[in-house]
Amino acid sequence: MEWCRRVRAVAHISLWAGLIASLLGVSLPKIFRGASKYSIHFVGPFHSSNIFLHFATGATDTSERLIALFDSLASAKPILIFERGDDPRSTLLGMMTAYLAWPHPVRIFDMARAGSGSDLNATDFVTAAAIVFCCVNRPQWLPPGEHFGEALEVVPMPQVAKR
Amino acid sequence: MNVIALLAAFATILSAGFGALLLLMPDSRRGNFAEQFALSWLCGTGIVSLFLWTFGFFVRGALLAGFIAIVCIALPLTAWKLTGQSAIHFQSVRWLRPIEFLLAALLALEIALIFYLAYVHTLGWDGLWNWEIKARYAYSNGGVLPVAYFQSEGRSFSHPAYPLAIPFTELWLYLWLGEANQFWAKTIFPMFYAAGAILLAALSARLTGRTWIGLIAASLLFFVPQIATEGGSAIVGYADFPLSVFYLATIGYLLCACRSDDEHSFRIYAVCLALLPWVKLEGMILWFIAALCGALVIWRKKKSPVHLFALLPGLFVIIAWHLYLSQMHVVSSSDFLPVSFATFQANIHRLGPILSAFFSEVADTKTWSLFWLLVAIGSGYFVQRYRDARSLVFFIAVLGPIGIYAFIYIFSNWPDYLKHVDLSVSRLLMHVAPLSCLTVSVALAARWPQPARSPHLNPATCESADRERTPDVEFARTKRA
Repeated sequence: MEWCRRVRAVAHISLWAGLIASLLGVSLPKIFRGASKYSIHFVGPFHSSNIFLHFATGATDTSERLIALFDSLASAKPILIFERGDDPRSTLLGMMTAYLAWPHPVRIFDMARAGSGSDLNATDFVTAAAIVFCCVNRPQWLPPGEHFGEALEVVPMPQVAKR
Repeated sequence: MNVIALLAAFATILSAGFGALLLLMPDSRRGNFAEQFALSWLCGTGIVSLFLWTFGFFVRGALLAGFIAIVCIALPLTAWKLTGQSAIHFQSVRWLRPIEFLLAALLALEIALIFYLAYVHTLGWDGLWNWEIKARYAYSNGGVLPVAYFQSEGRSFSHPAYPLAIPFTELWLYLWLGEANQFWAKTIFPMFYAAGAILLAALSARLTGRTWIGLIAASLLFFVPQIATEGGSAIVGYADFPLSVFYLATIGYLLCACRSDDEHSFRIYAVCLALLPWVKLEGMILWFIAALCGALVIWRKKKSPVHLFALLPGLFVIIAWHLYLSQMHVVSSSDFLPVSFATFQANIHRLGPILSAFFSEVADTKTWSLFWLLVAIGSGYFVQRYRDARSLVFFIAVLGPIGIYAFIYIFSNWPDYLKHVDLSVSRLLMHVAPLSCLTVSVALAARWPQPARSPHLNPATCESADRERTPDVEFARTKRA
């Protein structure tokens, strides 16, 4: 009976040593790749949002610049954001702009969805604080706004009204 | 300066948690220092975030932060006075065996690596737009989430209805730092990883009677890509890993409470149970399952029905949060259709593809490596070792949430419901992953007999388990001495 117990013990230890070794064998390359992919290159209050915006627009310090721009506008007025739901980069920019635009109310319009924005009228544009285009072309009737890289353009409406 | 403020924020969280722990477990059965640290972190984040929310109804700004800081510091002192101890006792430190020392060093290295990985990664999308956004807006409004946020249609993508344990822990850091800071906010997530790994080691040691096996199980967690490096992992600011740690503590201590008179473990179960719905909406499902398991243990172990009161704090959190949301007129999420029999009948055909998607995820070695294979094999050992309520509790706790999650996607409102499943299934499985890891430790311990009874209940039984070096045995030894 003793030899039987020993065989079972060896089988058990071999099974689990093999299983754990296999788990490590499968995981380690993946973990190593994940761990060595990035390095600390920006430490600041807008660490993540600036990296996202840099990825999407190529511009730097975009969070601070966007907040400064939105802060210069009347906070009760809404920000209208135009994005394309079928383009992840555009969606990212739309949500990031909404995140940074606080305390402004925001309205997001998905230009890839039929009927989106059909309820907009001229008054909505006039009463808005700014209109934001995320990977969406600005209509010709609107004057150029402030560009943050190629993908993001913010048109402050008070400046349009002055013109 | 930031580092000092950050340390002060952590110290107050741990102080509040330790105070709660002193009240729950007045003697040295609180476990070793590492286990007390992990439980203090879990209780502390729950207490601080709940206090920020509730006291935010009455005060704001520096007054709110100052008041809660005083409560955090006063809590352990009050608990110490109330329990009438002459000094706060920590379990005596024992020398680790060489193998335990090596494994503990490996675990410490893994935790350090998780801190490093959290710093080099950005917050993920959900980390930023579901959780940090709430902390940031609350910080800009004196520590209280503005009513306008709950009603903002344009920000409905950030799920305003999600509960506040994670964002208000970040808010606590912001109140100490004096600014909303996405970089330092990430620090809390490796802390949850550390707490989770330590609790997994401690619970495994309690269940198997061997510390080194607990340390092996905890070390394995790092080698699961979904937990260490993937999207939605412990380093990107999502609530799923912290939720899984709370769930591990809830069910783990309930398993320990299955030993006839382990009241202390049952108290920790009750506290962690109450905090589940405060971490994430899915926490309500986990609360339901864990409450069911608790009721089962009370019934099977013939505990007093008074123990059922342990289920009430969690229920209170759920009701209070939903009352608050209804008062805020929160914008509703359009991710799911209203639950009705007609919708269920119309969409029942989805169940097969949904289950198939869950099985595909479990078998995905890129995300999970061989983790679920180990768990599946370990489950056999678990049933063999625990031929009582513990096996039933464990399998309900692991399979119950997965079943409910799969069922819920029948009501998905996404045009492509499988894309909806695909986006979240890995994170949903993570909720039960650390808990499932207990099967691995039980399997590893299968070659060693388990002590017949918890030694701390009867020091005499310690004779039969004299080679055991668990906290329970250490306590029993102290008692005998």
